[in-house]
Amino acid sequence: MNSHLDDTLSALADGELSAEEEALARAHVATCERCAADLVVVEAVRTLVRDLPPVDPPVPLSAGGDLPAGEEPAPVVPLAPRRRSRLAGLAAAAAAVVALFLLPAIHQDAGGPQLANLVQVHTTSPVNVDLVSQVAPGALPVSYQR
Amino acid sequence: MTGTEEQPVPDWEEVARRYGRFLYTVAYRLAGSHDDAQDLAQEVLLRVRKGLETYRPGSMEGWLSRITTNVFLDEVRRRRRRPQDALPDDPDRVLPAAPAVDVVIAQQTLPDDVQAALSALPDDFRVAVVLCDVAGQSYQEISESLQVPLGTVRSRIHRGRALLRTSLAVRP
Repeated sequence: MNSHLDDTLSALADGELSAEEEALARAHVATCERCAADLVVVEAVRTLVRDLPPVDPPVPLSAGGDLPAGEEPAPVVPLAPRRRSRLAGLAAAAAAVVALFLLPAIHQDAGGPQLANLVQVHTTSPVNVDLVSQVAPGALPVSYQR
Repeated sequence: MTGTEEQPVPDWEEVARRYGRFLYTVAYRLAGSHDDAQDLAQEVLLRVRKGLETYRPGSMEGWLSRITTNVFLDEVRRRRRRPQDALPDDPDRVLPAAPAVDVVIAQQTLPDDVQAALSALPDDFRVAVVLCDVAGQSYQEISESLQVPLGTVRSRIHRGRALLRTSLAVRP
């Protein structure tokens, strides 16, 4: 064999050759001084890395703390069906109304007249009126659309 | 291995408790520092916790090695996109010639020296060597984890070892 084994040497050291390939490789190594020397070095390097000690984490491993809002952990065990309570729905509607009040207040340049309109709606509406649909029909959550 | 069907993702705390040392060792050998290894291991456990990785019954070490490698290579690719952290785009083109054979591996090489030599390898070579010699993966498993041909795995492992040999060799 004229060519040297090169990366076949690592595969030979790792036992990753087929029986036929291994027989050919060992026959070559037996007659090629360079490949025999290379195999010794490959095995030495391999041993150095394999003998590296395990490394313990300096602090207990974590999974990044609490997940961001809205992200569920992996379904390790079946979760109970989620129920959307009526109170939660009302809270969402209330939050939407509050947000509509706050947004113009943040952008004061454009928000002044709109804020006044919203206050007007709020102060003149009967108790049971659907405030959200009056001021922002498009903002209704899906579950509230009729 | 009982099949290829997906199974519920193992509990991340159980993974951390039983395989934390293995996971951290692979992460450390890849990343080369405790700071980066902790970030890497944390991201792996976060992916486990969020169920982002498909789990099939089999070797837990193999599964964790694959996730760890993917997270590591994702970070490498992210850094490559930033000019200040530019890395050689093709390690095959920047490799020095194989050293002469008249070098002798130091008999008393310290683990820190080996780690420094590992850290100096091109990323693709380091990943292949760590998966083979630290994680104990077969060439076939590495091929599947990295989605590269077996011949590429063989080449990367051998060329990685050739570079380690250069770094760790002492001349008589």
